[in-house]
Amino acid sequence: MALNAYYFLAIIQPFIASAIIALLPSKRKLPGLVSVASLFISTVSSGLVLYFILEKGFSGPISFGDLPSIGFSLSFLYDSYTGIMMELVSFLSLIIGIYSLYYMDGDEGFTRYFMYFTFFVGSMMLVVSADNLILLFLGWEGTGLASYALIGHWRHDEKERMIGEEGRYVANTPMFSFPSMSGLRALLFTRIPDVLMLVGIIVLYIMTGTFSLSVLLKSSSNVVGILARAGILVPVMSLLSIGALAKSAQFPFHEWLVTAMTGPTPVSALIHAATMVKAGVYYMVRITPIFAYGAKELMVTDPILGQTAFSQIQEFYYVLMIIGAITAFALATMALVAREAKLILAYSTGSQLGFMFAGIGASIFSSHPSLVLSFVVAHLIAHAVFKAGLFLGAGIYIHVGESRFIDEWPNIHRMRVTTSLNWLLTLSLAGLPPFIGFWTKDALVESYIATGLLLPTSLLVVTILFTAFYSTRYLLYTERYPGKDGELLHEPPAYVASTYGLLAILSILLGIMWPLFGQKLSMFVSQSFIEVPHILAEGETTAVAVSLALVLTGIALSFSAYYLKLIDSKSIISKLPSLNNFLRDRWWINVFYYNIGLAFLRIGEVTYNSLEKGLDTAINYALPRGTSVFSKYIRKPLNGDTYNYMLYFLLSVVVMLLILIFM
Amino acid sequence: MSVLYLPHLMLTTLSISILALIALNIVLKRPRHMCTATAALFLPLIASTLLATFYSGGKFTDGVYLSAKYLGDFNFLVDYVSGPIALTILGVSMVISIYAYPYMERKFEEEGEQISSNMKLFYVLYYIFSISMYGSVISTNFAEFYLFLEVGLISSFILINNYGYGDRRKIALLYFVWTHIGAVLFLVGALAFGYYEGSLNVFGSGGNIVYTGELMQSVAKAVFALMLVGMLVKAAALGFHLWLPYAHAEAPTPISALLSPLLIGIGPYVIFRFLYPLFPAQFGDARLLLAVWGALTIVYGGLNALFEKDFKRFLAYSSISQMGYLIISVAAGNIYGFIGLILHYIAHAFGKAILFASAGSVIYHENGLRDMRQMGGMLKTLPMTGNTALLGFFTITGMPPTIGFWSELFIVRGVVEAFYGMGAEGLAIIALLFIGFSLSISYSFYRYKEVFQGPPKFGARKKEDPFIIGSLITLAILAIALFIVAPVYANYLTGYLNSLKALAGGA
Repeated sequence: MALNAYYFLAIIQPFIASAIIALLPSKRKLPGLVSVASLFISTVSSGLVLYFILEKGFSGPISFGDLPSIGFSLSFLYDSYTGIMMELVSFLSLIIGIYSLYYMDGDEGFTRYFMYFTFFVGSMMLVVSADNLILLFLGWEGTGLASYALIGHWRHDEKERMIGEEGRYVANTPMFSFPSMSGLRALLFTRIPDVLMLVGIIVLYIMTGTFSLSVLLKSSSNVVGILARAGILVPVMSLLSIGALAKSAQFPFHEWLVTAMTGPTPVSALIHAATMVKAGVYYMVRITPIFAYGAKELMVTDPILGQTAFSQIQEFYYVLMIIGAITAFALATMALVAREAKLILAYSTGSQLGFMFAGIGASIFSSHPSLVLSFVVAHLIAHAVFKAGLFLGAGIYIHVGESRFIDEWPNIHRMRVTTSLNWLLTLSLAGLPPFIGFWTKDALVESYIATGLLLPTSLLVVTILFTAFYSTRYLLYTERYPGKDGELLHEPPAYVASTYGLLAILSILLGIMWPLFGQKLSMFVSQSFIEVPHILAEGETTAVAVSLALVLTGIALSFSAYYLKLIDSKSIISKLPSLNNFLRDRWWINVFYYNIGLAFLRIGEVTYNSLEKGLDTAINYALPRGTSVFSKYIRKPLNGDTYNYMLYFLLSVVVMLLILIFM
Repeated sequence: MSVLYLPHLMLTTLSISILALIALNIVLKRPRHMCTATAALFLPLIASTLLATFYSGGKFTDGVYLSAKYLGDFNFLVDYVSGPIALTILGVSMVISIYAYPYMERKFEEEGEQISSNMKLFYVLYYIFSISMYGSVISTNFAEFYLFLEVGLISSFILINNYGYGDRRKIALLYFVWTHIGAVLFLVGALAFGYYEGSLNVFGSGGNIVYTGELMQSVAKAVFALMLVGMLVKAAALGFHLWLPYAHAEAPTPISALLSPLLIGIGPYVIFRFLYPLFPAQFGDARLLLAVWGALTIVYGGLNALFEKDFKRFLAYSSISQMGYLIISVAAGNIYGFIGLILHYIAHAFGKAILFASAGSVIYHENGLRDMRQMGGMLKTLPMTGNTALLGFFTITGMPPTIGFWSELFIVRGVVEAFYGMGAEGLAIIALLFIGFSLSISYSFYRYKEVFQGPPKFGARKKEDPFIIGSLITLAILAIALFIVAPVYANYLTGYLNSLKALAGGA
């Protein structure tokens, strides 16, 4: 069947390409070209899959093989959500792959880079298309592995590869990080919660007897019923989501994403902005309908159980929404004062992911969860497009400005092409109409307000102001405070500029077209989430007004500070040193993790030095020593002297007689 | 029973191979040829085991080759359980036998020993050691198993004693005494079993487990306890592990690469293969204890590995921790746990062999360097060693694309299925397992970062020995290839284990 072939080419083929790249001789650009070719095939095949879905609608999963005894099957979902995600992932990978050809040229690990890059794409495609949860978990681990390897791509920790300000400490904790350390942190932060996620998947399997997402979706009320009856609904949901929270860098697991910026910039663009960190969002959006609609259906058949289940689910998703809101807020505040270009973008990524998680949380409170989820997906797409573009642009600035700190860059507005394109992307991030970022964020804000939950909503709304400020500050900063100046700034070659150019144009084009196709997209995506809503907007015009006003205020503030020079931001900062340091030191959360790490090393040391050494000495040294001492003394009286022996004999007889008498 | 009718296939191959090796030892003049001969002589065994495992419908009994009253019948049983384990032993031994040549050559040179004669003796002992492990896993009789185990113990004892590092005489003795205590406890249990049962058979001539229903409760309990403790000593479970860091760290590295994953893993394997079917009731009683013990072993080994500074001792502690996984998965007592056990035996065999071999590669290329505090940035000096070591760590921590992914999956599945409904104790076991996984991931990649990544502490890139690198890469490729094979195998194994369960009357 043709469809199977497209799935194979889109998802499995990158793995084969990755293996081929590993075996290739590292001759000039060959590995990179193979990788790009593979990504191109993947993009085209995903496009065809999406086309089929659009044309003919969708049905059950596509299966390549089945191992029923262990519940594993190589089966892929065939629906609108997966189709769109596959196309998004492969398309962005292709764009970033082309950019990497330029960016990584001449790097000693060129082959290795493209091997992991292609492996990553395959894994990510698995995540967004797997029907079987084990298959999804496999891809999930694969993305983590590639992320680990690529964050630590520069394996020898040269000074210019670090992130953060060298020598900056909070208490005992370094606030800077080298690639190898960042890789380790990313791995620990994502891999350890994944074990819990696996436990969750297995408990779900034990309860329901299936690993298949499509089956779980179809029997959602049954699933919720079983879990609620066993009283483990909330534990299972927590186990299932903790991996996603960590992967998507939600508070308090966001620390790894910040230091992950030691990776090459295209890696940050692809893995730590556009795709892998979205895996958590993808997955949560995928499983949320099971609970949202399952509980609703259950309320019809079994009102009492359904009601308890529903209120438990609501509580859980409320926590999720709070977590999202805190993430969005906290990371946006950090972005306000950050000096490093990639850090600003990383904070912003985490913050935007917080918006998405808050949207997932809010979906339960809506009467049409699938609609809210479709907004989350829309924002996911929008963010992937503009943030990938911003990272690619940042890579060029860092290259040209020869520094990762924006206050050391020359005035970047002298690079007309690159900076104009980056403005398009930035305004999309800031949330200004008619850019795509405005529409999707606005749809989410409407959903937050509709929940009527004051705390998370207000945090999220304030964050809109911050977002508008820090995003425009990022580009305007050098306008007021240019670093070294005078040199000629070279634009990158046309094919490189066209990569982020394409994304910039997409971000505005999609924005302009949004009023036309936004509703259709929502309809199309929500088909994958059980219910297709008929009401297509919740119609909160106040929400639009509020968010637009906040965006404009933020932009105005940043313009008056860095362009019109009306506000002296440096003097304001110098008056608030403690706040500035608190934000710059990432709310001191790193101190906590760093000391947990130290504590474990210390526990290891204590175990080793006291327990293990003690046992070792006692049994391997003291015991043999004791026996040898014992034998030395016991041998002394046994010297072969007959008189002595007779004495012992008589003594023993006496002792025995005494025992016999008194027993 | 079996589709394949080739009586005494295993026995013939085994004896011919050993005789051939001894003959070649006399004939061959150059030590390098001895290396080739040893490696090549693994091939017939691999071929016949493959044949017996996969072309026989899953169960191949070799035919009784020795039979005596009270002792029972000596036979070989190659099925879906023992076949892959046996193949792992042979495969790893074969690759490591090639690795051993440059390593031991350098070692003999440094110690001023005569190369030719020492190398010949080394290879003969090496082969016997490996083959005895092979024989023990396909045994069907307690006495037979014990004999093979003891031959393995003695040959490895001599290997450590003659070719080890440090205070090798003392350490060899330490190793011998400790593991011999384990073996003797097992033997006492086996003899008591034989006294009451009339024979030491575990599997009958058709390859089915013998019926032990009429064994007295008290006797069964004592026999089970003795054997269990014996095997836990072999497996270096917490408390019985004290010999392992010495033996595995001070053995010559190629032997460490066999000792660490292959030999000690036989302990949990035997618990599953012999004790679980023979004493289902006693096993059921001991499960919880065993699970806690396994979980604590994982955590304890992991904590020590986190601190240990000597590369080989670090790997030895990691092995203790990995044995905890095997013990906990057998304690799960369900099919998925058993699959986890078998897959993790294989995964750990390849992973740990890669890691010991890469530790050996550092020793080889950096003049005996073992202190990890002095290492750093080794990827610059020894890039291939570093890259394969990463795959080794992936394998033991359960990352794709290595077989470790599947073994982790099945261990978690087996343990969760067995214990999550058990209330607080069950949850504690799962929580300990989670801590154990976290520790394994932490120590692995923390050490990888310290040793291989970071600013290089040594000069320019060295030319790595092709034999050493070749065997490392072969092991790594096998670990990746098995990633694809493992789920298919696990699928078959589920069916096979289910059929065994049905035969045993649903016990």
